[in-house]
Amino acid sequence: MSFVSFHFVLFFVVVTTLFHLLPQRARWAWLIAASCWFYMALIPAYILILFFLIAIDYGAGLWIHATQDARARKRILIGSLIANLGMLGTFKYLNFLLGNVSTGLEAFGMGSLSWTFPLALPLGLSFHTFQSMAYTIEVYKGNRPAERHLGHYALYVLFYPQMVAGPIERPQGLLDQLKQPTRFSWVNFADGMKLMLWGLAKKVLIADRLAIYVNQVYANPGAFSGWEVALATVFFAFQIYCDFSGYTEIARGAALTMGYRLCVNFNHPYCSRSPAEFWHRWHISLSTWFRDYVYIPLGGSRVASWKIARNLLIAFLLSGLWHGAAWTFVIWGGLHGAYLVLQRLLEPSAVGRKLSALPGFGAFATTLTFALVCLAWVFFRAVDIPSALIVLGKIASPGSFSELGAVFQDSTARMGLLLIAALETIHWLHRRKPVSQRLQAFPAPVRGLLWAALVLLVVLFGKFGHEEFLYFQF
Amino acid sequence: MKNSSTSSSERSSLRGRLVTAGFVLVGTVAGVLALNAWARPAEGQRDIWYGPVADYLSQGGRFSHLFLGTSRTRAAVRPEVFDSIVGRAYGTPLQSINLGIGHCTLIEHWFGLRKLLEIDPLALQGVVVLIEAPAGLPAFLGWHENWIVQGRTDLLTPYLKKDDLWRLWKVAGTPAAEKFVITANLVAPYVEHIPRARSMAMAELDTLLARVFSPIVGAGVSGATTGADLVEEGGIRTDAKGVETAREMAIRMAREDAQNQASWSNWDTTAIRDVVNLVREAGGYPVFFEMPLSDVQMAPYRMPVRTKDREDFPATLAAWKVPMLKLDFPHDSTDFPDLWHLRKTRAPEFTAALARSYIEASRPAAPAAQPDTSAVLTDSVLTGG
Repeated sequence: MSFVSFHFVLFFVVVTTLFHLLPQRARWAWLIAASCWFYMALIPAYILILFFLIAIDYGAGLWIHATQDARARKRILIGSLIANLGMLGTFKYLNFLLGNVSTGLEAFGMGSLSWTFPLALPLGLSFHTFQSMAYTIEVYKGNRPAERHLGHYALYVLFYPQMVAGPIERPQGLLDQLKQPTRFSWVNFADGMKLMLWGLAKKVLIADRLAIYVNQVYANPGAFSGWEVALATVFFAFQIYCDFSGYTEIARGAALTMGYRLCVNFNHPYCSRSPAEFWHRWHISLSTWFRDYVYIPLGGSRVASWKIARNLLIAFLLSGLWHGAAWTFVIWGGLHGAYLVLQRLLEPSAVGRKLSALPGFGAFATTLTFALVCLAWVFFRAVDIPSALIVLGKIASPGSFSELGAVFQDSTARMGLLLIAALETIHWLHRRKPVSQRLQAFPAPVRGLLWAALVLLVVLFGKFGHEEFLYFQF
Repeated sequence: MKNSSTSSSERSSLRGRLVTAGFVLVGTVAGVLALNAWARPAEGQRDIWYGPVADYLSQGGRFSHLFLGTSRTRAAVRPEVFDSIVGRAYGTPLQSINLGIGHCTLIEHWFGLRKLLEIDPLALQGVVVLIEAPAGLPAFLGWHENWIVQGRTDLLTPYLKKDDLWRLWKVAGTPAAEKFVITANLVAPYVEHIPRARSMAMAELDTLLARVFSPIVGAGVSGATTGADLVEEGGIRTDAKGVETAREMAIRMAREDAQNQASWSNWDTTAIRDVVNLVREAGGYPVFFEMPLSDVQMAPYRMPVRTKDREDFPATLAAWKVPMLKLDFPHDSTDFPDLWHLRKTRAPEFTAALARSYIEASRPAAPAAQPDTSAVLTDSVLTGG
């Protein structure tokens, strides 16, 4: 079920109302039932995969907790991780793997494999497997006891606001909250509704409008000028940001109306002054997952320089692969890994220190970081590597400045620029003083009318159609 | 003391939030009402489709032929040309009306015809209703599918009654949000013109942006026309962006059609069967006419499944006793500037071919002296007998 649908509006009203009307002891069961309904709106049978993973990880958690022997605990953890990754691998990577094996065999003149399995990727599988693995790893590390209440644990995996596209919660964050009684609070409810409205506005006012131009250009980049392709790439950077952060804000808002706080997943990523800072601001729940469960166990930053570089590359290549079973995603991850390695090499150098002391370096660094991020987005968005190379070739030779004007003959390009300017103005204001604090300076009726104006903007200019949230595919 | 000041501040905060929420609600409702009022068309333009025909009927007007279809029909059929040729052949003045419009479905036509019959139960008595059949197949649309196209709730709403809502919610495959808008319009028409308000606001914003960008882009940024040789009626766009969008949509939809070719076999369950029945029960004569398509749109019809459907459809026609007018009208893809619609300069030629085919099909008929069109066409021909 999409957050931007009439069905969700009905679902949300019914689920939230009944949640608050039901006694505390029945709420977890109600939320599990609602979450199953939410998930089953697409392919009902896939709920069984979730039940399987819940059973495996719940059992593994209890077993690890009850086992004293370190090697046995490790074996149980590995078994649980294999079950999760095996499920992810089967549904997400099997056909990718077989396709590559087939290409390899063909290259050596050994024929090809005609095996493909018509498996649809279960909604949000990458998210809930990572959330489940976080639980067993945390229990293994002794950071939290195993959860004994199967219902509470199941709800931790199934919790509908974040089950299909995150944020990827840790058990210390969400599971502990789900076990606590919650009371209806007007403050939480109002703040949740505002978050949901803001997320919806980002999705239907900005992301889906930008998508019109981006889809048109990326469908056939060879037919467009370099300026148009470059603009489409910048638009995509904002499209994916508004799409994903919009989803997260709807998820956080929906959870908050019931009194649960999900983690912040985005923090103005495009104002970052370095690739490392970008990853502290972009998809924070995923980047911290890879930091805690891949990068640090590999040795993190407390090893020799070449090993740090290796660890970074491994973490980011895996992160790329997590996003999709295609080489374009691997290259995207690899590029980000390479940026971080380069940053680590340049930052402590004398040249790096001198550069950073220059006036205006901040603006330069922000622009450069944004350009590098956009360069990587080309691979993320392009349908395949040859298309990405066409896009890069076009951007490398954009044409004369007089041709730049022609780009804005297209009304979707003009609209896109306006939307980005509006968004960045809000971000700029927010960075100086949070918008919520600015709003508090106004009398309550003015605040109310400002929120009403946002509702009307969504009604008037929102694009309502069949644009699915981008991150559902992961 | 401390507790009391805390609870007082909490109460004040809660009061502030409730006032804010109240103003959100009031502001939103007032804004929606204002937008609805802003977008409300002038009285005579509220129902631009069957509305004028209904008004014409109410004033005692009659018609001899109705053309039912999409914007393709609107683009290709010139009623005055048809009336002139067929009227001359039978020595009687005719009155044809082209009811083709963009983004409509046959289900909406069914409701439109029903509205005409509610105004005058004899409205279709002796009237020939010519129905568009692209590549020789009318639209294969069941009642369980979407009744409207691309959110155009405004086309359907004027013809629905409250009694139809149950069927809309239970049967139609229309998205729930659009069902909600239709229902709201029927129950309390305060959001009726919001879709129009959205289009108007978008156009206003686009004009404003075009003005802002004109120093960069140069003159002529907005409303640039291709000089496309298309009629500007029935929702057909002739501006550069409109033509480009139509072309993209045609290519995309043709590709989708080619990839999802389920056989169109059980025509008795479709809306077209109900349109045929409605016309016939009202004393009219349903007739299909073949609508030419661009090569892009013709491609899915040339694939094996649809070819078989086209071969099988005459059996359905025979069972229904409805004739299909085949046209001698040579054309190629250059005749479809936006890949959807026949170019304006070829429409008279197409209509003439249609009229000739029609005369040919009704040749045994004796010319009538009076403008009673039922006499112009014999039952034997028009019932396929």
